[in-house]
Amino acid sequence: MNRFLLAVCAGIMAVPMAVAQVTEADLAQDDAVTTSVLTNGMGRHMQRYSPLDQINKDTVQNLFPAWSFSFGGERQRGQESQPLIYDGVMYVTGSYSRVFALDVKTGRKLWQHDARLPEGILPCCDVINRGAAIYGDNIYFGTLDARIVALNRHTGAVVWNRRIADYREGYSYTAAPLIVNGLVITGNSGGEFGIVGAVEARDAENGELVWRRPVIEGHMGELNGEESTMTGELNATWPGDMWKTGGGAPWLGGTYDAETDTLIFGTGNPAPWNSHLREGDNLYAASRIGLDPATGEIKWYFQTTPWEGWDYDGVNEVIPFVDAEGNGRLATADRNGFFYILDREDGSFVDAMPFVEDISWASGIDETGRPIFNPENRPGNPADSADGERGEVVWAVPGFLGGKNWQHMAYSQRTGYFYVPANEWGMDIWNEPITYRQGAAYLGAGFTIKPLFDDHIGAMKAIDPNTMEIKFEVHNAAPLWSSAMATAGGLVFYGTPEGYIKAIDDENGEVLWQFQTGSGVVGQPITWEDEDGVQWLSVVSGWGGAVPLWGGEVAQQVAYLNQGGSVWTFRIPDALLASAE
Amino acid sequence: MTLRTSLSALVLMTVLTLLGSGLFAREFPSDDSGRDRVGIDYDEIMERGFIEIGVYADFAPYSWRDSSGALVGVDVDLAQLIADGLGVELRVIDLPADEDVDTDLRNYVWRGHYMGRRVVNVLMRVPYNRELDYRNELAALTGRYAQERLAIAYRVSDFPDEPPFPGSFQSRPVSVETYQLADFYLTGLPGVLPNIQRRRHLADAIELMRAGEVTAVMGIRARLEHYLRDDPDFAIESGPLPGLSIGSWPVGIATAFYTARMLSYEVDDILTAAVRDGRVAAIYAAHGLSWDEPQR
Repeated sequence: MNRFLLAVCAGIMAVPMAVAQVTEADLAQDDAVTTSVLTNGMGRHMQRYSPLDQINKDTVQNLFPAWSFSFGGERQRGQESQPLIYDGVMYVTGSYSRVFALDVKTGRKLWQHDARLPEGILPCCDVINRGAAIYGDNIYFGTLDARIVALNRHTGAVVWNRRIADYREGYSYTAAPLIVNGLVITGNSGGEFGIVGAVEARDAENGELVWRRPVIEGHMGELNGEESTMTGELNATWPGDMWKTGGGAPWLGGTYDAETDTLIFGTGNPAPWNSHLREGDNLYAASRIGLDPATGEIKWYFQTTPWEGWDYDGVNEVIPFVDAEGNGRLATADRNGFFYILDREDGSFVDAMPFVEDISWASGIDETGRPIFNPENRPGNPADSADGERGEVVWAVPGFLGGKNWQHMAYSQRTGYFYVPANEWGMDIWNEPITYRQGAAYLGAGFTIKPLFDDHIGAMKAIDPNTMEIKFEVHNAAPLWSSAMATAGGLVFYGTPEGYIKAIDDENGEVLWQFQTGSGVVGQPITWEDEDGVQWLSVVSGWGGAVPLWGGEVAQQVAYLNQGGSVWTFRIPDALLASAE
Repeated sequence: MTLRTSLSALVLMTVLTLLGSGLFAREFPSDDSGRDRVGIDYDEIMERGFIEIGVYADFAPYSWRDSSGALVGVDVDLAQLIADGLGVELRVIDLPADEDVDTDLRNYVWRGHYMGRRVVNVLMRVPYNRELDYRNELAALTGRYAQERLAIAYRVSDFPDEPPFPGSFQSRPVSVETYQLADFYLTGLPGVLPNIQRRRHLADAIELMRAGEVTAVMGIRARLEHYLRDDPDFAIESGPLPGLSIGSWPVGIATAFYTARMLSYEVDDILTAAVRDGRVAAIYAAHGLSWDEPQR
């Protein structure tokens, strides 16, 4: 009803300020333009690298907070967002599906949008949000009840609001959307029970679905309102009708490689978790898939964990780069503990190496890119515990939260290294005959995650993709759950659950600067410069996410960490900038 | 002040001191959420005059919303029986199930959910098993009122000689509700997987059988009875299930352990009496369902 009214209001309010509009060309050069941050990953290739160097190894000691903003409210629980910077405004999302627009110089709030979530919702995948997208005059973000919403960036008014999937069937949404050629591209998130992963593209203007690509074989795709093609080949790698509820949610979003005009999305683990019910590779779960952004057709795939059985989602970001010999390559660090190099053109396997210690589920990766399984390390079949006995305990490394979870790595164009926020942990898994669901018996499994080492779980690892060596690592007591960012100033920034935002030397890992934010940092740092050439840095703070929810023994170890919800913004004060000159 | 009240005051003070000193910290959640006591006990419920009882949402024939939106079913009637037994008003709340009962106990009985939902005083249809009880030490599992069992519903004309047994489905198509015990059990039997049609809801599996696409549906007996009770073309068999030791289990109620222990005793007394004098069986019968006495 009030669409017209809304449009008029938005128009009136927009007129005095709206000159600038974010275009496809702006998004395409987001990695090079230093005065704004328009995409998740600081460029759609997600390298998280800034050419700025006012803050560098020498000056970082002068970095001080400029302002801090509290998300407020009673609800906190995990702030994993990456802010966007445009036209003097910061757009940042908070837990429980909130969006804030802040004056970028002062932190003053311009508007706030709180999504109205349905009564009784039980979001599968925690209440975090990993950030918004910006295009035209709109801010786009996804909600816990699996909707994608466009807000007017000047007023916060809702422009359109579309359902991605039905939250009552176990779907949710937490990733930052990706914008390519005027399409808003999203994955989905889902629980263990009965969901199917899909990538969808909508018209940024009105939210109309343009194409849809389910990621599990046997499901039909959609293009312009009609069936397009089937994903894969029916029953090629799935038995019976298990594919109908095959999981594979691409819950971390994706990369766009403009060089090859390809969307690259990672897919979650196949469902159900009990692999004995679905013997086969289970395509395209636990994979990376390359998609045509215009049609949603699958161009290529690379499966990191065929016949996955340990909860090793394959969702991790894929970062395009050029290696030392000038080859176009893709890099990705999988939850399964291996770091992969793929060919940029077709996703084919080039090389792999373990990036965490003591991997037990596979002894390595063969020359075709397939894991060499250790069969005795596959979790048992719960049907074997139908006799009522608790099954044998299997110790598997990495644990189900992965050698690397969602937290993004960064690629430094300065050093040519990847900086991977990794975790060293394993898990005990056993068949649990005495499990119940909704009043009924159920064949379940017990899991508990445990550290590998006494003094650390987190390990920031610098990996040289040319020599496939770990150049250095920086240990952290608690698990690392924050993305990394590299800069031309020779620094790598990342946060820790202990509350610090840190800067390390990109060549040797020496900690050059750190600041205590008051709650755990599990967000995604960014940097930009203002019109006066001053470099700024921002990160959200607020402990939460999957570790306290599912971390088993590790959750006990980090139980002392306090929740929070704020944005911290830093710069070198004018006086110190002047004295340096 | 009598000796007795001053003694109990001393005990109370000691308990409060221990609480304050964090010695009781083990009973609290492992994250930093507030350490307020959640839930209330018997005296407060009696004083305020109503009790909040949680049932599973959309779970016929135990608890679901009829066409007028009213919450009905066996568990709703049993909740009324509990409220009447206590002499308080009933407020019944339908709750979505999470991934397992342990999580439901945490969300609805002793901590509350992080989306902001408060706990209920009593949660219905909680299975009883010693291991489940032990590992959920913040919930009191008691008041067993029925015995659940797996069964096979089938079209009589498809099995004229004898009712089907699990091995029958090596050659005959069967449907199950996805991710339920029947699904995992049949999927694990040799040669059965290709003949299983899995459906998200039991009602959809029943429709497949009515349409003749499968010969049988396997699931919880009372739920099968609910859909098929007036149809002479179908029958329900609960014979032996080879290799499955958990084909039958008792269900009861849960309350918070520390904050509502007295309530759990009272509710247990009410339900135990109703089991013995036939009122629970009558409620099942009124819904057209058979009932078995819970194993203690």
